[in-house]
Amino acid sequence: MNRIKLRDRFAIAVAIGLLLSAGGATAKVGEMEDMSLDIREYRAVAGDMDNTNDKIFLSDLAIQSIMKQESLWDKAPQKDQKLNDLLAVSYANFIFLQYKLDNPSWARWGLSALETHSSDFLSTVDEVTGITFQEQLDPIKNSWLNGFAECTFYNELVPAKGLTNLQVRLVKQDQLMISEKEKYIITVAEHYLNRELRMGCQMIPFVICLPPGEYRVVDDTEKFYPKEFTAVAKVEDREGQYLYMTPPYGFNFVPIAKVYNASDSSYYLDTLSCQEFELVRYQEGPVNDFDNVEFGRYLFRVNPPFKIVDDRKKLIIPRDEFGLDYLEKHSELIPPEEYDVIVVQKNEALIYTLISGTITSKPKTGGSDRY
Amino acid sequence: MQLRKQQRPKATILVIALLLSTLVTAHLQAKTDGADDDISMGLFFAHWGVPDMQQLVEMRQQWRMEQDTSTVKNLSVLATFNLNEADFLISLNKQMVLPSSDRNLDGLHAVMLQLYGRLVDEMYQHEADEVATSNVPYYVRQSVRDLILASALLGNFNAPAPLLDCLMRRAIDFSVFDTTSGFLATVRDVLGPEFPNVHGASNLIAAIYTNAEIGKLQDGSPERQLCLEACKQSAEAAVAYLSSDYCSSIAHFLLAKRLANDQKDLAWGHFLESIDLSSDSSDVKALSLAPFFHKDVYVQEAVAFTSTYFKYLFEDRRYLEIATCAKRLLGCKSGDNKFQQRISQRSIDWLKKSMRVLYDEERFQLYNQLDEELQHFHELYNPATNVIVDEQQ
Repeated sequence: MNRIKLRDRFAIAVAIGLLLSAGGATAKVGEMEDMSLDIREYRAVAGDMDNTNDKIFLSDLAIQSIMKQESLWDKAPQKDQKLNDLLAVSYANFIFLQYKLDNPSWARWGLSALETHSSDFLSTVDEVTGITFQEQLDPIKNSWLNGFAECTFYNELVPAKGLTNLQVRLVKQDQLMISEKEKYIITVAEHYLNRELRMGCQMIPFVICLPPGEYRVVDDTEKFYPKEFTAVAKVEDREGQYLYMTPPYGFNFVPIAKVYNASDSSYYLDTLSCQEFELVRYQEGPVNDFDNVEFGRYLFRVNPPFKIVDDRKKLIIPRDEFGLDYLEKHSELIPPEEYDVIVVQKNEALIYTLISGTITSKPKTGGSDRY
Repeated sequence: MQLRKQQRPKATILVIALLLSTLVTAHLQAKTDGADDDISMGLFFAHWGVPDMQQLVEMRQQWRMEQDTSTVKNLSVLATFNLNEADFLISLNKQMVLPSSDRNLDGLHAVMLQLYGRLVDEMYQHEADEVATSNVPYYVRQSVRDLILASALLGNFNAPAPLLDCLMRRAIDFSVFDTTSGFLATVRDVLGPEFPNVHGASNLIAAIYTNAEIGKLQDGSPERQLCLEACKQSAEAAVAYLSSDYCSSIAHFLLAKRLANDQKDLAWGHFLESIDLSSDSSDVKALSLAPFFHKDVYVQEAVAFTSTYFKYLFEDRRYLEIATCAKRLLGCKSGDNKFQQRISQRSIDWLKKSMRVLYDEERFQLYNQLDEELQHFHELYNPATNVIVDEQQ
């Protein structure tokens, strides 16, 4: 008797669980539908906005909405066709909105995101315009975006130290020649860059206006090296000369350690001092001050009782020997994840993971941009 | 007429801050009671009851300085939503101090987005049929109030329009407000024809609610003076920015009332504008504001205003304008005998007074002109028999 009851209870629990999960899925679809309607409304009103602040706020609204939808879609237990189409249509509306707002950076972002989703909806007719989504997206992708210069920003700031909270500004060198529209596009590119920086993105493609011009990336606190670059138009064969931003030429070298607690998986972040971490410039000797380290070839080591191990705590470098030429490797030629594998171990209780070391405060000369 | 944001009324901020402070204790009560949002109740910004600005600033500072568990516990009564609202109001305050600061405006945008995001998240935490009985209706009103506040006080800032629209759409879907009356109904009715002109719409809403508050304040009190000024400033901004006829008619009417004491000619012009722009269509009659703002109300107020306005014209020796204004008013309600009698009687009285002055001054040409006008009014109204003569007869 008891076994039957238990079995019944189990069946009831399973049924309730299924019902709840079904309810949750329905709720997610309902929320997605509402959010999708939101973006459609934002798109409808975008043409009426002529004030820069209004445009930027509307764009931010749409970004918040699309990211929420992406998150809902991601968490949905069953990604059926309806859910996929809802998200895809929202992305399309997002792109149309950014197109109306003259915001090429976010339009490009939306197009990239849309490519990762189902393309089935593209042939369907947009209820707003009576034209298929494909027909509307093509000119944006093929001609409108080619009217801008595409750049890529490599973010090598230190997220753990909050350096990505820096507000960067894009400054066009020949300010006198700048039109109101160019000024607006630079402003929205700035917003785009700053948002992506805050989100910790490492490679940030962004779009600025043509004709090509000399630009600088600066920040108000001077913690970030003012960076000059040239916006270059894409060539006609669409292979594109993409403009890359190289890492800064000088560093305030801050070895940041991830300190794990041996008893559990928790950790905190710490900075190694000159006494704990030795930096030696190749053929020039030890560096006693981590400020303003020149870009170049360096070796490093940790002083006893530290030792360098890999992330499985296996000893890979004897404690008294120099390590890798870290800074030289730390360039755009090496994927950023490469420098995240060096582990410094102090004792059995604490493990230090060296995760980065690129901050600048004073401008340095030398080096050149690469495209 | 274009009002720049540098010219935003300081008085508006003052009156908001002052009146907000009177309703600190009402805050939690309103939250638990569900806060009846009758249009005739309370001042616009104070109606939903939030602590005053200074208290919010101090609270926020304390929150940042002492993030220990006891502080969290003490502040938990406000919940995270209200803390965000505190941020919003603080940001708005900073924005008002430094209207040209893009950074402050960015901050305000961020908090506004956060408020909306949290509100929407909160909505979907509940089953659809539970939303109306949850805290969501309270949060919706708070958020709409905040957005209206920002849109009314900042310059020509219309971006929150779609946000408000989406909020209202959800509020209707979730049945969290009375669609026939109250604050949200007012917002919907005003924003609807003005969309996306939320700046003009917000100023009109501010004018409506401050106007409703004036009658409750003691004559001559500083609060009343501030409220009068705030209403005037909001109505002026509304007149400058609104585009739909019905909303503009309300704005002109409220502005006329506020100008009636000091700038009588302007007031008269606004009364006439409000009457001209008013409508008796069924669409307008269905609006929640229709019982309070319609042509009859405007005409009635304009007639009441003639008692001082005719006197003002008389003293300003603009005798012929008395007849012109009276005839203009008579044209507004041609079928109403009592109304015509009232206007004609008043016009006749002032025209006779004017004629006596002109006779004494031997200005017979103007005297004869007024005499002709007098005959016209006598044709409409015979003082001897006190009977209105039908124009058609």
